[in-house]
Amino acid sequence: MRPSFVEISDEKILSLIQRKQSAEKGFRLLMEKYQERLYHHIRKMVLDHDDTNDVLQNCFIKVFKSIQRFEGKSKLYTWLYRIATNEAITFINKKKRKGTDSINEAEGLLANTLKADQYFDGDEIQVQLQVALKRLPEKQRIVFNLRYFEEMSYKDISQVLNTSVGGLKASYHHAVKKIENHFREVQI
Amino acid sequence: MDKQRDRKQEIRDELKEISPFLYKMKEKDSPFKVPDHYFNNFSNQVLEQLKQETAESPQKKDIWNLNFIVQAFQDQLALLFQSRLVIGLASVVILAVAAWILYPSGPDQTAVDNLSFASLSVEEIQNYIDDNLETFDEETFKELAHENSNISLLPAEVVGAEEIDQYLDQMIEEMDAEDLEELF
Repeated sequence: MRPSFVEISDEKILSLIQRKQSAEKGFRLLMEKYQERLYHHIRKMVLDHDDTNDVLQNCFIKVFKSIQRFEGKSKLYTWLYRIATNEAITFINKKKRKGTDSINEAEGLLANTLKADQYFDGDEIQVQLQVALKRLPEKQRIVFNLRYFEEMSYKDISQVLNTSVGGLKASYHHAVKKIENHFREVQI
Repeated sequence: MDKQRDRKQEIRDELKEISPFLYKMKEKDSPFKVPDHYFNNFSNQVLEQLKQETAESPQKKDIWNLNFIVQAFQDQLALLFQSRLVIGLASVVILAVAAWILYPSGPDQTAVDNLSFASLSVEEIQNYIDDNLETFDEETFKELAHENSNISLLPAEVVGAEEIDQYLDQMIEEMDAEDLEELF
C-alpha cells in the first residue's frame, strides 16, 4: 500500500528531488503534501478560486525552479509559505495596478462579490470578517491569517515574513483589535 | 505531535484572552470552497506546465558566452531600475565582473570558477537573479562601476562599445508598452 504523502517527511521529499531520476516523483509528493495548505493560504489573500489557482501554480513552478538552492536554514514549509505569500502579494499588486483587484474594491462591493461567489459559502459574519481583513494593512492581514487560520507559531511566521517575533505579536494584537472594532461598527 | 497540539492550544488560549469573540468565530468551517476533485489533478497540471516550459526554453547554453550573461542581467535590470542611465551603468559593472570571471588573476581561481559557474544552466542563473533581485541595490552597482571602470580589462574582440550600445538599443526596443508605461 502506498504510504500517505502526508506521512512522508520533508527530508525524504528533498532527497528524492535532489536525485535526477526521482526529482519528478519528489516534486509531485511535495505538491501533494502542501498544495491544500498553500491553496488556502493564498485563497485567503486573493479570495477568488481562479486567481488562487493561477498563483498556486506559479508558486510551485517557482519552488521547482529554486528548490535546488534551498539550504535548509529554515523549515521547508516556512520557505514554501514565503514563496506563496510573495507570489500572492505580487499578484495582488499587479491587479491593483490594472485596477481589477477585488480585494481593493469598495467594501460593499466586496461583500456582494463574496456572496455571489459560487465557491464562497460563508454567513454574514464570515463575509464581514473578510471585509474587516480587507481594511487591515497588508502585513497585519498576512500575520493575522497565518496566526489565526494557519495556527502558525510566531517563530515560523517570522521565518515566512522575515520579521521579528516582537513585531509580529504587536501586528497580530493590532489586527485582532481592529477586526473586533469592525464588528462593533457593523453591529453583528 | 504533542508539540503541535500544545502550540495550537497556546494559539487558541492567546486568542481567547485577547478576543473571545474571534475565538468563538474560529469554530466555524472555512467559507472558502474548492471545486470537486480540484486537488486530484493539480500536481499533474503543474508538471505538465513545467514540461512545456522546459520544451519551449533552450537548454543549457554555453555559460561563457558573454552575450548571454549581459542579456540575462539586462533583462532583469530593466525591470529593477527602469532607467536607461542606470541600466547602462549597471551593464558596465556586469561586463567588468564578467571580465573578471573570464580573466581572473590566477590559474587556481579559474579552475574553481569553471567548476561552480559553468555547471549552471541559463534557467538557474535567471532564477538566481529573480530571487535575489531585491538584494541588489543601485549604490552597490555604482560602487562596483567605479572600482571596475577600467574597461581595458575586456579584450576588444570579446565586446566593444558599439556592441554595448546595440544591446541597450535592442533592449529598449524590446520593452513592451506596459514596461514603458511603468517607466513614467
